[in-house]
Amino acid sequence: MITFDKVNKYFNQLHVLKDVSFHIEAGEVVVVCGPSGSGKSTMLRCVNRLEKIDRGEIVVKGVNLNAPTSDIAKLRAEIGMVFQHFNLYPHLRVLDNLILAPIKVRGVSREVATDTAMKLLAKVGIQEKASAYPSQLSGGQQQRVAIARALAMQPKIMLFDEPTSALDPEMIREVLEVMVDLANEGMTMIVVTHEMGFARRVAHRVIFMDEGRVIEDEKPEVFFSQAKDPRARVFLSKILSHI
Amino acid sequence: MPRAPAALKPKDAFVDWSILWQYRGAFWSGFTVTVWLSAACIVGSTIVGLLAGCLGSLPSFFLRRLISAYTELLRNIPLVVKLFFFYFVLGIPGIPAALLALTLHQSAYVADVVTAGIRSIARGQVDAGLSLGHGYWQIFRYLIIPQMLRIVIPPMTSQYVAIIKHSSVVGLVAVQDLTFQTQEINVATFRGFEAATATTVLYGLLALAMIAAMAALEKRFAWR
Ligand SMILES: Nc1ncnc2c1ncn2[C@@H]1O[C@H](COP(=O)(O)OP(=O)(O)OP(=O)(O)O)[C@@H](O)[C@H]1O
Ligand SMILES: [Mg+2]
Repeated sequence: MITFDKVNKYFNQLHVLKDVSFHIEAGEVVVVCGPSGSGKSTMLRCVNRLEKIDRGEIVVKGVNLNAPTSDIAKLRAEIGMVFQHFNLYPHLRVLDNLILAPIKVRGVSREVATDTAMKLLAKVGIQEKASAYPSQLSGGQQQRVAIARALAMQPKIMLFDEPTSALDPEMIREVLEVMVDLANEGMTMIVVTHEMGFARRVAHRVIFMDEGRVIEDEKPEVFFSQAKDPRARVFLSKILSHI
Repeated sequence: MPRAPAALKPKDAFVDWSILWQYRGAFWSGFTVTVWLSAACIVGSTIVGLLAGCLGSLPSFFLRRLISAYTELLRNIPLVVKLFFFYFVLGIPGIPAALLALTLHQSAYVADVVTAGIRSIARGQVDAGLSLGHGYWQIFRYLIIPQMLRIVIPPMTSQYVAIIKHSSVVGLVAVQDLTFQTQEINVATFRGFEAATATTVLYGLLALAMIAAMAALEKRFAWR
């Protein structure tokens, strides 16, 4: 479903992705972790080409992202993305946040889009907030709306960039619940997170990044108990003791 | 032409408010000229400023430089000089020259307000729009412009009040606005104290009305 082959990316002189390679099958849930600045967000943003790469190759759903002929907007519409700071549209009500892309990108009728949106809001447990503005919701509710907005495009892949790290502890769980449900439904997911409980529960693999490289790419049980690289072990001891 | 105002200190002189009633026709006609002139320039500078600000925010180096040259040029030439340029150099009659000078002058400031408003919209909005498959035009149309319109209401208020204030120079090219009439009344009656007091109150009321209208507009489009 997603293949990175020796991907390299620079921000001016700064080499942020170094020969990043991995392959993710349909239905896999992959958790990505690593220290701040290790390139996790950048890697994730390459999957839907919010960032362009300088060398290497990325193939998503059979589409080569480097090829100038690729219809990136069409591909993006099939890849949902959830951001750390939600990025809901503040000027639109919750329902309108959900139906904008289906109507304007897919050309779905307003009635059908509204119907789908209400079902998704029910699924993430906030249908009663359909006519509220994002600023009237708690952080956990906003993030659930953001997930529903991404799902409204019926994506085949979902990307999460630290979806719970801007949330208060009591709201983290309600968002993780939604993500666990999604994982159990067989969604292909890449989740950048330090929620190791989530990784243990639903991840098929954990990718550990440091200084722009993939250091570990293991099953969770292997990663947690017998990470080979000392950097991964230091990272794990820090974040597990922190929780 | 501007004439030296008669030096009439209120303490030395007997104050006669009745001249305000006597010259109510002149006040009224000056007031209406100020109001419609300002209104026309508010509409004009909003349209030109929005257009310039939006164009200058597009990801084109050429457009950005062009628009910044436009705003720099207009901001660095005094308003009265622009007015004289249109009136004396280009020979445009008083009222159109006044409309043109005021509109262009303020449009530069409105463009800056619009550019700043667009710049203040979080980068994450564009990311969200792109990730859902919107193209740049849709992002501009459905995300950037509506958010910008809401953001610029408060700074736009002071731009609009500035137009009302700046319109007081149009008498220099013989447009008979409120300030022009005030001067005429002073010349005719030497009652500058009374006339200027009334005029000050009228400009103050206009500014207050503008501020109240914009506050109402802001409330109407509140998201929170
Ligand atoms: N738009 C950009 N321009 C320049 N440098 C950038 C940009 N985005 C990220 N960087 C740099 O690239 C490196 C990798 O950043 P990235 O955001 O991918 O790290 P991360 O692993 O997601 O970190 P965090 O855990 O803090 O989110 C960092 O050094 C960062 O400063
Ligand atoms: Mg990050």
